[in-house]
Amino acid sequence: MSNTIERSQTHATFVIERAYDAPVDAVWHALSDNDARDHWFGGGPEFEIDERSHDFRVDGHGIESGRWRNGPKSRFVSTYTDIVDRERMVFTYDMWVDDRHMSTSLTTIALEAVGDGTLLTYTEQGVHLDGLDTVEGREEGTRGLLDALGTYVTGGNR
Amino acid sequence: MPKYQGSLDQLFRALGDRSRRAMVERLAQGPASVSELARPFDFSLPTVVQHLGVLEAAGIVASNKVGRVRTYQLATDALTPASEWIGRQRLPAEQRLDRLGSYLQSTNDKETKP
Repeated sequence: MSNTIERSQTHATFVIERAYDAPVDAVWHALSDNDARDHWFGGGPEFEIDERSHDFRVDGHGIESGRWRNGPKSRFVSTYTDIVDRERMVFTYDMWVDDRHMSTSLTTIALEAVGDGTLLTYTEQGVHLDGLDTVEGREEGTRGLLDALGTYVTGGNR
Repeated sequence: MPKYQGSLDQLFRALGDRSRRAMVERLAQGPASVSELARPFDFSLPTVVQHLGVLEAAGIVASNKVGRVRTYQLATDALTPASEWIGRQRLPAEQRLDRLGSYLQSTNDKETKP
C-alpha cells in the first residue's frame, strides 16, 4: 500500500425516514435483540465474518468485522451512548476498510408509533476520511442490488 | 461494461421525456396500436412514431405489424438494468434499513400465517 495517502475529511449529515408496517415493539426488538439483529444487520452471504458481538446497553459495543467476498476487509465498531426504551437510541461508530480508518459517525434512531405501524427516523452525522468510502461503497452497492433481488423473489413489499 | 453503460445511456435518454414515459406506462397495461398510443396526446402520428422509435431503439418496446396495423408492446425485462442501477445508488444506511423492513415483513408474515 502506498505511503502517500492523500488526506481529506468530508463532513455530512443525513436523515432517513422509514414507515414500517410493524408495531414499535417489533421494530425495537429487531434493533436491539442480538438474534433478531443478526437477521438483517450484517452483510449477508457476501460478507465473511471473523468477529461479531453486540452489547445493547449504554457504553456497550457492537462489533462487525470481516471481509467482503473478493473484496476488502471491513471493520465496524460502535458504542451506545443513550438508550430510551422503545423510543430512542444513540450510538457512535467507526469504520475501517483494509485497516484504514474510513469514518466516524454519530447515529440517532428514534421510533414513533403511527397507527399500527412505526415511523423510524435515522439521523447520521459523520466525518468521512481520506475518500475511503469509494472502496467500501462498491461492495455496499452490490449488496443493495442483492437485497432488492432477494426481497423481490420472496415477494416482499419493496 | 462499456456496452452496458451505453445501453444505460440509451435507456435513461429514452425515459427522460414525459410523453415517452406516458407511452411506457400505457404499454405496461398491455399492447397498443400507434393510433391508440397517440390518442391521449396532441401529437401528430409521425411524432408518436418518432417517440416509439426512440423507445424501440433503447429496447424498451418491441413492435410487430399485422396487416396494416403496427402494434407495440413493452419488452420484458427491458427496464431491469435501469432499475438495478437505481437500486444500487443507495446509502449503506438506507440499504440496512431496507433489510430491516424486509426482516420485519418476514416475521410479520410468519405470525399472521395460519
